[in-house]
Amino acid sequence: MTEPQFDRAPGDIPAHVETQAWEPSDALVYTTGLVLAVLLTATSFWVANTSVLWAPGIALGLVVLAIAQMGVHLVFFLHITTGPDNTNNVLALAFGLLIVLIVVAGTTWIITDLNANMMPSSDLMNLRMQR
Amino acid sequence: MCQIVQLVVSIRRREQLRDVTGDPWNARTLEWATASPPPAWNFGIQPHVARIDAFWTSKQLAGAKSDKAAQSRKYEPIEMPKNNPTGFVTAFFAVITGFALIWHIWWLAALGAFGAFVTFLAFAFRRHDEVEIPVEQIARFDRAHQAEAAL
Amino acid sequence: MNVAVAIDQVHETQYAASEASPAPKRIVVAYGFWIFLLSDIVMFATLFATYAVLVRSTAGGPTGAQLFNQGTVAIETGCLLVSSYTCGLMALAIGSRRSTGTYFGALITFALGAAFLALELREFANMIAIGATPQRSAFLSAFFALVGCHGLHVGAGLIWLVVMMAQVATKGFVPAVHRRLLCFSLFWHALDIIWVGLFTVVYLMGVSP
Repeated sequence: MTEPQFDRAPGDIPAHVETQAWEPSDALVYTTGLVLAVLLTATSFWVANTSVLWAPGIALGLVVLAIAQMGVHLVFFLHITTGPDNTNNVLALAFGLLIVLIVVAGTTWIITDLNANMMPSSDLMNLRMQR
Repeated sequence: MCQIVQLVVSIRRREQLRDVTGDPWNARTLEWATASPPPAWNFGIQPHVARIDAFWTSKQLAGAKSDKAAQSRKYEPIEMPKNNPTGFVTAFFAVITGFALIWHIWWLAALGAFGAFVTFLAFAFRRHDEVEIPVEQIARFDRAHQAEAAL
Repeated sequence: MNVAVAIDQVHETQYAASEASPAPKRIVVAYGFWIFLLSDIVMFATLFATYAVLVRSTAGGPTGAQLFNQGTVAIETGCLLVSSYTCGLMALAIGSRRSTGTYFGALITFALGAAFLALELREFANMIAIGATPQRSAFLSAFFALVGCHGLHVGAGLIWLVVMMAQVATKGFVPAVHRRLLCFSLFWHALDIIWVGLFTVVYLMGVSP
C-alpha cells in the first residue's frame, strides 16, 4: 500500500518512514516518556512538601508541572505531534481544552462572584440569627 | 385565502405537477442523486468527488448521455454493517438500571447493569459484523429506479 | 443564467488530502474515540470545577490536609504511570502481532491498575470509617464524586482489558480486535492524564501549606 497517510490516529504507532536521520525506536519513545513523567511527578511531590518554592507560588508551580506532565503523556504515549498527519487530532484536543478552560474558569469566576455578593450585611445577619 | 386556493390547485393538479426525476430542485449536491427512499448502500457505484457541487458537475458533463452511462456501470458487492438489536436491548436494561438507581433498589441496579454488560459482550463477540450486498441486488435496484439514480 | 462549470484537471498522481479516498477504518474509529475521550475530559473538568469551589466548605468536618496520606498517593501515582508505560509496550506487541508480549503487557497493566484501585478503595474505606463520608460536608461530597468517578473509570478499564484479552484469545488479531485495543490504550493513557491533574489539584494542593 503506497498511498500517502493523510491522517494518523491518536495513540497509533507511527508508521516507519525510511529516513537518513536516526529515529528513536518505539520502545525508546515510551521509556523516555516514562522517565520524564517520573521526574516531573517526583518534582511535584518535592515542591508540595518542602519549602523550595516561595509558598504563595507553590500552587502555580504545581500547575505548571502538571501541564508539563500531561504534555509528556500526549507526546510520548499518545504520539500527538504537530505534523500534518496529526492536524485533526490537535484541533480536536485544542477544542476540548477550550471547553475545559471555559468550564473551569467560568465556574470559578461565577462562584467567587456569588460568594462575594452573598456576604451577609448587618440587617441580614438578624434574619439569619432568627433561625 | 390565497393559501387555500394554492392548496386546492396543488391537490387537483397533483398528477401533472408530480416530480419523476428525483431532482425537483435541479440540485447541486449529491444527496439528490440517490433514490427516494435511498437503499441501505446509498450509491450503487461510489461517485468520484473531485470538488464541491459534485452532482452539478456530473450533470453538466452527462447532458444527454445518461442512458449509456447506466448500461456501462460495473457493480461490485458492497459490505454493509449487519443489523443488530444491541442498542435496543441495552436501552431496555438502561431503563431498569436508571429506575433502580433512583429508588436505591441496589440489587435491581446491579441486575440491570449486568444485563447491559452481557448484551454488550454478545455484541463484541459476534462472528459476523458485516453483510455483503450482492451485485444482482444493486443492479436490480438501480434498474427499478433508473430515472432517479441519475448519476 | 447559465453557470458554466469548468472541470478541474484531476491529477491522478497527486491527490490533495480532500480528494484521497476515505481514511482506513482504524484511523476513523480511533479519532472518533479520541473525540469521545475529550468529552469525557470535559465531564471531569466539571467535577474538577465543582471540587475547586467546594474545597473550603468543610462544614466543621475534616479537611484534606487531615485526611490525605502522601505516601499512598505517591504509590498510586507510580502504579498508574507504570501501567500506562506497560500499556504502551503492550501496544507495540500488538503492532507486531506478538501474543505473548500482548498477554504479558496486559497482565502487568491489569495488576498495576488493580493495585491502584485497591489502594484507593482502602483510602475511601478508612475515610468512611472515621466519619469522613460523602454526606459529611460539601468538600467531601465533591472529593468522592471526583476521585470516585476516576476510580470507576479505572475499574471499567480493567474489565475492558479482561474482555479484550478474551477477544485476542478467541478471535486473534483481526482488524476489529486491533481497533478495540487501540481504543483501550487511548482510554488508559487518558485516565493517567486525568490522574496527573487529580493528584496535583486534590492531593498536593490539599496538603501544601
